Formats: sequence, structure tokens, C-alpha cells
Amino acid sequence: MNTTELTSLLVSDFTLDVLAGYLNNDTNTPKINAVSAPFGQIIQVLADKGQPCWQQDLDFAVIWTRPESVVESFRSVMNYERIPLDKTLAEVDEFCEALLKLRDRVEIVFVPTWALPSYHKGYGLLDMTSDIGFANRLMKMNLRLADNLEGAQNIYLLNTQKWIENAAKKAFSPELWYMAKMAFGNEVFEEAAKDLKSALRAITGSSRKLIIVDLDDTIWGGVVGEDGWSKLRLGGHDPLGEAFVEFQAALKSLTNRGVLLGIVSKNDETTALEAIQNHPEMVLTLRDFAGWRINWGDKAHNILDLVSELALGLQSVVFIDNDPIERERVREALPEVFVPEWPQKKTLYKSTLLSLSCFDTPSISQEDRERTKMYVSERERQISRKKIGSLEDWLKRLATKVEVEELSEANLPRVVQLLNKTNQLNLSTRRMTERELQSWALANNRKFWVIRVLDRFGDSGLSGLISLEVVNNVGRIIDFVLSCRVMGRKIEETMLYIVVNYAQSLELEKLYAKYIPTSKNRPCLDFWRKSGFVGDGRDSIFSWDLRQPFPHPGCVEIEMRVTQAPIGSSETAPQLSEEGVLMG
Amino acid sequence: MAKDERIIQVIFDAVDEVNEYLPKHQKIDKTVETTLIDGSGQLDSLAFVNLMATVEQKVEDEYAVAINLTDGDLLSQINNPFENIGTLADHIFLLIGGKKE
Repeated sequence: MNTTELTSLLVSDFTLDVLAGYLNNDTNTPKINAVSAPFGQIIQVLADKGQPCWQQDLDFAVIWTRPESVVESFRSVMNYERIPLDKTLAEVDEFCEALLKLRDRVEIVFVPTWALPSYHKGYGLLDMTSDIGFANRLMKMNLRLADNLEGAQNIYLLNTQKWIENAAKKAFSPELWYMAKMAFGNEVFEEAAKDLKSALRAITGSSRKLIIVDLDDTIWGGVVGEDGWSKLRLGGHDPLGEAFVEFQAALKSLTNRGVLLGIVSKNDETTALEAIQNHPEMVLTLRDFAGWRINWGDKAHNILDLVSELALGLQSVVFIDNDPIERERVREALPEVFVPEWPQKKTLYKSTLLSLSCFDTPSISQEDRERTKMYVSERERQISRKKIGSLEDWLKRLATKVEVEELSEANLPRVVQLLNKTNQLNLSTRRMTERELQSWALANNRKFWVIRVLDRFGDSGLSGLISLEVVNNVGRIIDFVLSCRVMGRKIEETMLYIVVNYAQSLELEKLYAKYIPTSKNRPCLDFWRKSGFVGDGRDSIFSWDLRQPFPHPGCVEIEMRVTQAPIGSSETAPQLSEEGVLMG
Repeated sequence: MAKDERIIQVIFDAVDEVNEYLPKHQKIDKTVETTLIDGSGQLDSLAFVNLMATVEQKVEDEYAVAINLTDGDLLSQINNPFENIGTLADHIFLLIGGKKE
């Protein structure tokens, strides 16, 4: 998928030109070129893949319908007729079948949920009753829609009701309906466009991963250096203190969806850390933070420094500070960092945080949920490293183990997530949907390995990917991807050892890797230059003569795991030793 | 601000809102001379209807008066009130007469 400019088809039983306009005019990435399908021909367009609107190269489609136009029995419900629920749900199932078939025509499908105009009171008092209520029936229809589409790759339901709530009384305009067949007011389409953009950024791996917060008057009330930690406004029988506690709780909750927290604050470090550790109402603890820079230096420099330590890119960062001057400084110095406007009222901190959509991801893995823990483990590793002498000794003491499995239905969502979000150690920076990768890996001459890294400090989770394509007697490494959190621990060399070993088992003659430069994958080039592979002098092609063994990093144990239901050919499985383990 | 200037500002605010989704080549200029409907085709029918509905809403917000600009009969009047932004402002002035301040 081309992630810089996406082509979209908007399919609806009402006019979506305004949505197309909002999508096309938004200059934030990804750029979108949206066009509308023939107006009001929803069923024909869905059913007939020969329609001209499907004959273009599409990246995504939006299928937005009114419930009464695609579920006929719901129209009867709206006429106050008594219709059995089964009949309605059967029609929803039929509509879902048509949606599922779209996967053959377009990479990603967005389906906004069904909604009724807020002016329609239905049965009023009885509207939530299960036999006749409109609202009750519509909820069940939307739930059925969600259940039916849940397992479908690349079909995402979007919550229309949120857009309606945000647009408030401007959500519906009967006038626009009668004059232009617009089912919603402009504000609803504007909200929809924002959510679609966020969803696309999430799917293409551009979501934010790190929130860096200031301390004074941001996560607590008051200035710790002047007031002392015991006088901070935090918790207690105090509305503002309560607001700060809830803001901290909201920040902490985001770590459960894979967002990291960091601190950049102008303060005395000892004083600030003492407050975090000692204040009885602190919700956040030091173990909730992946890292911090607390000093009197420039915040922009401190952000750069912290982001570098965490091996993330600036495009991953959100910076939250109550001080508008600091916000402006960071915006100007680091334009890639997202610095949301922050309310003056402390009571709005939590709602402002929770309204940000920049953290959206297409899926959430266990690794995401434990990401903070992984970074805290990494911090402990670094402390341990400082105590132990050489890198080799330290790596040995880490007792690193690499578990290797093949691409499978079970790991596919997490693999695609890693493939799409990894920038720095990424050989070719391919961005693919689950379906694209699955289809690519199915070819008999291709192999795709998934790497998991563990050590005595914990499980870093799914961290690396390697793929190989074989043509005649030559192998070509297509993907060489490693999460920044395990870079520099000989995992890179271990991955090459695995792929070289496999290529030798196929009796290939040569192994190539083509480095495709991006603005962010320079660390990958640095690794390949010192990898032992022979460069072509232009930093483009690196090769290995397969008559030569590739040295195994002695400090890493490799375990080849049996993969259940691998995607692609397993006829050419990696060669295992008797114990099923490759050891250096 | 003069009364008619206030009305023109209301129309310009509506223009800003509609311009947010219009393609670059169809953006509406914020001048009193900007033609709305005169056959030159600057505005397509969807944009026109949307602009009028937005102006109606903003007039109601500003003056607490509900006006109707999307009545088809208006379009056939000899003195077309939609010729340009200036004539639209004059028309709105008449519709809200006596309630402006």
C-alpha cells in the first residue's frame, strides 16, 4: 500500500461529497483522493464487482448506509410495525455477507455504524423495549454487524454515534436532506473525516506511541520545587486535586493499550523523583515511565535525548505541558512531535487526553499491553550493563534466547503491526495489510520468520521479522525488521545466522539483501555495513557467499519452534538439530 | 460594525465553513461581488444548498430569527437575491428587518 496518498471509494445511499471534500482537503498524512460511488445504488455497487467504480486501484472504501435503506424490516419497525427480531438480524447477516465480499476488491473497508436522527424519538418511553423499540433494535443490529465483521481482516466498524454527539444539534438538517440528500450535517462529516484519517494513520503504522508529560501543574497542582511534595494539589477533598488524580489514572490506563509514558520537566531531579515516590496520592509510579529527563535544560533538547534513549522516532511523540511557551518552543523546534493545545482549566485535562485519537492502532497485542514493562526491564538491563564490564560479558549474563516461528494465522496481526510500525531497523520498509502479507507469503519460493526475544529480565515479545525469496540458486532477504527495543543485543546477527543457515540448507549459492533508504532507517544501514555481508560500495546491495558459514553470536540461544498452521509452504522448513535447537 | 457589515460577516463565516470541504478550484471568494448563482457555475448545487443552509443557521445564531433561503421560488424571482454575496446580504437584511439590533 502506498502510505503517502491513498485512493478511496465512498459508497452510500446518501450524498457523501462533503465527506470526500473534507478527506481530500486535509493536508495531514496520509493524503487522500476520495471519490463517491454512484449515488443511492448501494446494493448494486456492493453486489456487482464489475461496476466501473471498482475498476480503479483502491486503497480503501467507506460503506456508509442508513439502516432503513439496507435492512428493509427496520423500515417497517420505524413505521411502528411489529417485526420479529430474527427477520431483522437475518437481513443484517445478508448485508454483512455483501461487505465481506468486498475484501476481494479493496484493501481496507470502513463501515460506520447505523444511527438514527436524534430528533426521532421512536416509541419514547418504550423505545428501549426489546420487541418494538427502535433504539433497542438498532443497538442489536449494530452489535450483530460488529459480531459478524469481528473476525474479518481489514474491515473496521467506526462509531457514527460519537460523530453525532460531537456535532450536537448540527448533526442533522432536514433541509440538507430534502435539498441535497445529505443524511447528516457538515459537522458529522468533518468528525468522520478526522476519525477516518486517524484510522488510516493507525493502519499504516503512524500512530503515536509515547506521551511525554511535564510535572508541575501538569500531572500535579503546584510547583514541587517551591511548595514541597507534601503541599502539592493531588487527591484529597479538593476538586482540583481529584482532577489531577484522574488525569494520572487516565495516563496510566493508556499504558494498557501500549502507549509509553515519559517525563520532561524543568525541575531538580531528586526533588521531583522524591515527590513521585513519596506522595501518597500519586497514581503514577516510576515504573510507569519508560524514561525521564528532569533538569533545567531546554525541553526540546531533553525530548530529543529521551526519544533517542528509547530508540523511538519523534513522529511517535505527544508532548503535554501546561505552559504555552514550552509548547510553542517544542512545536517550533521539533515539528514532528504532536503538541496538543492544552486547556487552562485543570478539570479538562482528563477529557482532553481521552479525546486524542492519535494513539489508535488496528489491533492491540499482549506485547503492546506490556510495552512499558519491557522498557522498564530495558532500563534495568542498562543499569546492569553499567555494572558489568564488556558488552559480550553483559550479553552472556542476559541469557538471551531467540524463539523462531513461521508466519501463521495466529501471529499475523502482530507481525503486520510490527512490519508497519518499525522504521529504524527496517531493510525495505514495506507497509502491508494482513491480506497483502498473507498473500505474499503463500508463494512456494518465499519464507517468513517471526522472532521472539526473551532474557532474564523478561519477555520482549514479538520483536523481529525476516523474509526470504528464492529465485534459482539465489536467495534475497526481503524483510529484515527488528524492534528498536532489542537492537544492539546481537539479535540482528542471530537473525542473519538463521537466514544464512536456512539458505545453506537449500544449497543456494548466494544471499542478497537490498537496502532501501528512508528518512528513518539509517540505523539499518549502519548494521548492514558491519554485518559481514559484502557491500556493493553504494550502500544498496549486500551479499553473502553461502559457501562460508555465518558466525553465530555465542551469547544468544536459538530455539526453532514448531508453528501451528503456518502461512506458506512448510516443505522447506529450517533445519533443526536433534534437540530442535540451533545452538552456537 | 454596521448592520449590513454584520450580515456580510455572517455570510463570510458560512463561506469559511463550506470552503473547508470544497475543492480548491471551487472555493468561494469572500467578497461582496462573489457570484453565487448567475449561470457562471462557480457553485454547484450541493455547495449552494449547503452554503444557504449554513447561512440560515448562522443568521439564527446571530439574530435569533429563522429565515428560509432554500425555497425554490426565490430562485425564479426577477431580482435574484442569490446573484452575489452582496445581494444575498440585502435579501437577509429584508428578511430580518426590524430585528437586527
